[in-house]
Parts: sequence; C-alpha cells; structure tokens
Amino acid sequence: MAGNNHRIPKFSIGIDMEMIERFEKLSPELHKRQLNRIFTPNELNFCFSKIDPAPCLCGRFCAKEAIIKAFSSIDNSLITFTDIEIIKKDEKGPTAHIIGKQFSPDFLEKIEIKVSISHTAQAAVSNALIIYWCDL
Amino acid sequence: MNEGKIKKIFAEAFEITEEEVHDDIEYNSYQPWDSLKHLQLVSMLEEELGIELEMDDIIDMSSYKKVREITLKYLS
Repeated sequence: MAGNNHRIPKFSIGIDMEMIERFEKLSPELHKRQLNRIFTPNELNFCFSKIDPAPCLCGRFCAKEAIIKAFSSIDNSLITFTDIEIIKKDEKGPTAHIIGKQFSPDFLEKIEIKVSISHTAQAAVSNALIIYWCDL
Repeated sequence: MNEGKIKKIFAEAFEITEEEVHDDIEYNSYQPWDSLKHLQLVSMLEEELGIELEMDDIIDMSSYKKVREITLKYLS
C-alpha cells in the first residue's frame, strides 16, 4: 500500500471453519433470503456457476466470518456478511474487499485484508489477516 | 397465537420439538446455535411471518426469549 511512510500497522487475525454439508441444500430459488443475507450477487453467481456450489459457498462463508472476527478488534463499526465480497480473479487465490457503503474511502484506504481458504471433502476453513495502517 | 408461531419456527430451525424450546436457550451456550444457524432462523422468521428484521434486532436476538420479544414487536 502506497504512502505508508508515516503510518504504523496494527494487525488482527480471525479464523473460521464450517461443514460443507450445511450448504448443500441451499438453492437460489428456495433460500434466496438466507443466501442474500450472506453473499453478494457476484459471489452467488460465481458459486452457483459451479457443478457443486456448496464448497464454494462454505469457503466464502468461512472467509467472511474470519474477516468479521478480525475486524472486531480493529474497528467498533458493525460489519455484516454482505459488507464483504470475496473474489477469485485468477489462480493466485481469493481476495477480500469491504464494500459496505457505511465505510469511508479514507478508512478503507488504511485497511488491507489477506484471506486464505482451504477445503477437505467435508469442511472448509479460512483465516484472515487485517492490517490497519494507523496515522502517526 | 403469534408466540406459538415463533416457537414453532424456532423448533423447526433447530430441529427440536416445541416442548424443548424454552426461554433460557442462549446463543452463547446452546451449541447448535451458531452464526449460520442464526441467519437461517432469521430468514425463516422473516419468510414465514412476512416481516423484515433490522440488523440491530438480529444481533440482539441472543436467546429464545429475546427472539420472541423482538419478533413480537414486528407483529404488533
């Protein structure tokens, strides 16, 4: 992140794990409300384009939970699942972005999020690192 | 009547009988009640009762007693 010469980093971590089977019965038609409370339209389009959406949904849920946990020690603002978007653009792995309108550009410019997601056949796990650049 | 509906939805969400639902079931101490189950419960309450819960209220639903009290507020 550019322009951090006069800033010091504050680090926070979060982790979450969930069973994939809990996402296996979720359908965009029958569980629209529940899915829309957790995932953004981009995330839903991405996961439901897969033959088996459940691992994708589960991994993203874990990543969001991990970020929410890490975020709680950085800022007192309420952050919800749909304030966070997990995107996978290439083979480098997922990236996380805070898209909630309540967060100012000035605040978001000071935040870096690193997230990692892993799966077994049964479960997904994610950890998140948030770096908050505090002004000196 | 509405209290009965709320209890029925809560029991359905947690796959328990209505007799097993009691006021001191709490988010922090009832193992099946995690964040994913909480969102499922909220979605079921909204869909089956035709309400839309505010985020502050969703977070405040920390026990069955609170779930009942908060949901009744939307139905009054």
